[in-house]
Amino acid sequence: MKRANLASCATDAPRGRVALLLAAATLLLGACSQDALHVTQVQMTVVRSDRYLPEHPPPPADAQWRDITLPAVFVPHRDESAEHVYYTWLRVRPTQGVDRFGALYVPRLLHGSHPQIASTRGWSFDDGVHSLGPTWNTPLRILFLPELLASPSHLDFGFSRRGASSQVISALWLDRVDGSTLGRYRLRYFLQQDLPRLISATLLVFALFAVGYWALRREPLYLIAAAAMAAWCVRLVHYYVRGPVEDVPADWFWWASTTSMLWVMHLTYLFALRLHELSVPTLERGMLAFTVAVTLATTPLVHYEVWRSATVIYLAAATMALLVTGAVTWHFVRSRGRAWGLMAAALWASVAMGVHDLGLRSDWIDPQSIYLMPLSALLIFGVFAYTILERYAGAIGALERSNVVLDERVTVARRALEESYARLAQVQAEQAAAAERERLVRDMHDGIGSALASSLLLAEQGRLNDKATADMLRQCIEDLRLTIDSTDAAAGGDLVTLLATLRFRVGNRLAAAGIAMTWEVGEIPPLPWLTADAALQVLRIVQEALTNVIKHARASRVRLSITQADDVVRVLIEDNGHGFGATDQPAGRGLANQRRRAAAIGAAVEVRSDATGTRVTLDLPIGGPATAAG
Amino acid sequence: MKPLSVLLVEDDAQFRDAFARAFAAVDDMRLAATCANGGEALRWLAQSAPDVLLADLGLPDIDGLEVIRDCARRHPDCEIMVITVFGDERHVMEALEAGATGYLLKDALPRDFLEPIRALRAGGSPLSPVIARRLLAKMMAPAAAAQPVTVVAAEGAPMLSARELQTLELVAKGFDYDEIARLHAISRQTVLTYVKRIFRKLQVRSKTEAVYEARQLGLVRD
Repeated sequence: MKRANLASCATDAPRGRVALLLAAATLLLGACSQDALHVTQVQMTVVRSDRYLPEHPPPPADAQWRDITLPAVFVPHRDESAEHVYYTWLRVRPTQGVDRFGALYVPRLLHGSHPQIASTRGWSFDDGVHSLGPTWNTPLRILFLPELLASPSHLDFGFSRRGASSQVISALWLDRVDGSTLGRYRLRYFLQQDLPRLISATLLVFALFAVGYWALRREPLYLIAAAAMAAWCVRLVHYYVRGPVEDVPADWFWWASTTSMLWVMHLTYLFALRLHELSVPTLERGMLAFTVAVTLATTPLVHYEVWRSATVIYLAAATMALLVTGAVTWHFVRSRGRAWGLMAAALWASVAMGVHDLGLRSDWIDPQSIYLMPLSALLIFGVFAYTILERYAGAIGALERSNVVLDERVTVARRALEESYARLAQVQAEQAAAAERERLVRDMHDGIGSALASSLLLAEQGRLNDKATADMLRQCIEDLRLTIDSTDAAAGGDLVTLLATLRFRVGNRLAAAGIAMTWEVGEIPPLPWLTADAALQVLRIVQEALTNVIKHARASRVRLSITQADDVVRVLIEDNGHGFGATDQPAGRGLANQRRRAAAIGAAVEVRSDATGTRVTLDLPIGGPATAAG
Repeated sequence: MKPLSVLLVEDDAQFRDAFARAFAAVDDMRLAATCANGGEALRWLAQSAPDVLLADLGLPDIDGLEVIRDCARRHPDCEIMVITVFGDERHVMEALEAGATGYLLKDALPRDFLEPIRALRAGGSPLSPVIARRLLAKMMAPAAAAQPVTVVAAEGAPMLSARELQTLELVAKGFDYDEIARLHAISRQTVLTYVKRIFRKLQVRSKTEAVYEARQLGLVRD
């Protein structure tokens, strides 16, 4: 019998790769304890049993021990039967510190259950109560009384397995009860058990959020993300849930946890496509057919024995993963999009992790290493969350930008409007000024201008006496006053005040001529078209009529009434004079003037004269010249 | 009865002569003084109180409105008439707000300007429809437009009575004082009293507004 070589103070992860990935773990563990013993050289014997026992008898004294080096893979003998239980015993022989050790730390034991420690002085076993995880992914730390090792200074570590199944065990550590492997055990437990649980919870919450979002917005992208996360959760369950023991449920459990990898890859790719609003129908249909076919074909119901091979499913999953990773990488190379790049990086990292896990499962890698696929889930979830967040932030940003653009457009439009208003106002002012000039010129021509010209003619002929001069000048002043009144009184289209002003002006002259005036006004609507220009025409027409009464009618009464009849306002000037004949030249010319003025503002003048008096009717359309056509 | 003393402020020498001749011909009025510019008038008004002030607006040194304002402030009982060529709305309103209670048209000279002075002294001045309308708009302003300035100014400003308002409305529609008296079944003299009161209220109101506006400007400057 050979004594096991005892190496002291080795790291927990000698293969380096894991050590790098678990840099945090190393930091947490701190320097390697001088007390812990790294055990790689042990002796082994196998005892066959007919049934599982919570506690096995110690190895028989005549057992055949052989030297082995840990980590080790135990391949079953081809004669073994699945009906039997085999109990493996490993004998550890520490050379030093035997009186201190009280804990055995086993980072990984694959397909081994009912672990126990035994010596001639007693035994100890791990009842598994403290761990809910599956034995294959749960580290072991069995405590024992130091007396067990004191003499005969060796310790037997045993565990059972079902016949015809292989077994893997990592190197072992002997340590004090409170030694440094306690921390390492806790960290490993966290990484292998707690972390996958946390990741699952995170993914589920995210999936719920995505489903809720989908329910509100009906964007398929979010449903795909939710489905991918759910598939990931299914995939992660077997890392931390001790699956069913019975054959059929165990098969279904295994089926679900392996085929979910296909779905994860499939949905991840779909997500990436939809995120970029892309669609590759042929590829998508092919992938879906492949995923569904493999999923259905590997159910425990169909061709059970054939598909039982893990290699087939893992091969399919690997094919799918490589296909998706390749496609995403191709998209990235083509588009250089950041989301594609992140997705490709995450997928390539996942592929690397998958290769690592495959190696771990296939015993190419030290069994001390840790399964990394849960981290891959976290990575891909991170990319999902990031891209969705970016999409959301981008949408908000776009909204804000569009608001800014809108503001700018409004500002520009308002400025343009203001400019056009200003131009319009300027044009209107110019037009008003032009109209005013025209009006003034016309007024001067009609009124003062003609009076002055005729007076000048008389003066040059020496025929202008004092009275004629005074009359002429008075007429000029009155005409100016009339012009001013037309601007003052016509404001607001107030015809009554306009004519009232005229009455106020000529009242004295009527009284002086001994003519009594009857003034009758009703309620008259405002005439919006009654501008200063139009008002002056009205004033001149009525003034002419009143002047005729004073000068020619020899009347004692004159009646002026303003009434509304349908759509016209009627101004009536009626006297009780002797009228005038058709041959009455000045009156005839005055009438022509009145008609011309009335026509200019769309009004109508009618004069009826007989021996009982003269009656002048001025009809002003309420709607203005435009409506007077009919 | 003691003749009315009249102060004439007129820069045109021919008009001054025409006025002087006209006053000389009657014995119920006498020309107390004649000023050719505003400064002269202000100095005279600081010393003596006329019964009637006749003021032209276009004076060579200061605005005729200044003379009117000064006279209205110093001698509230004095009748103030503004002399205007056209009797246009802007000039008449400004004069009324400054304190005038009537106006004379220049072309009424020299024939019949004495009568309006007598009428004014007796109670009322002729009121043109345009001015009446303008007065209505001005005195009704708080009800018509809710401008803060107007509202606040209105607090201290007297309101027109219903009869005064009706009188203004009828004048704006062209009815003369006799017709208004008949329509209201009151005497012509009462109508004239209304008109006079309206002028007084306008004057008070204008002062209130001026004070208010000055305060506003002061506040703004603060």
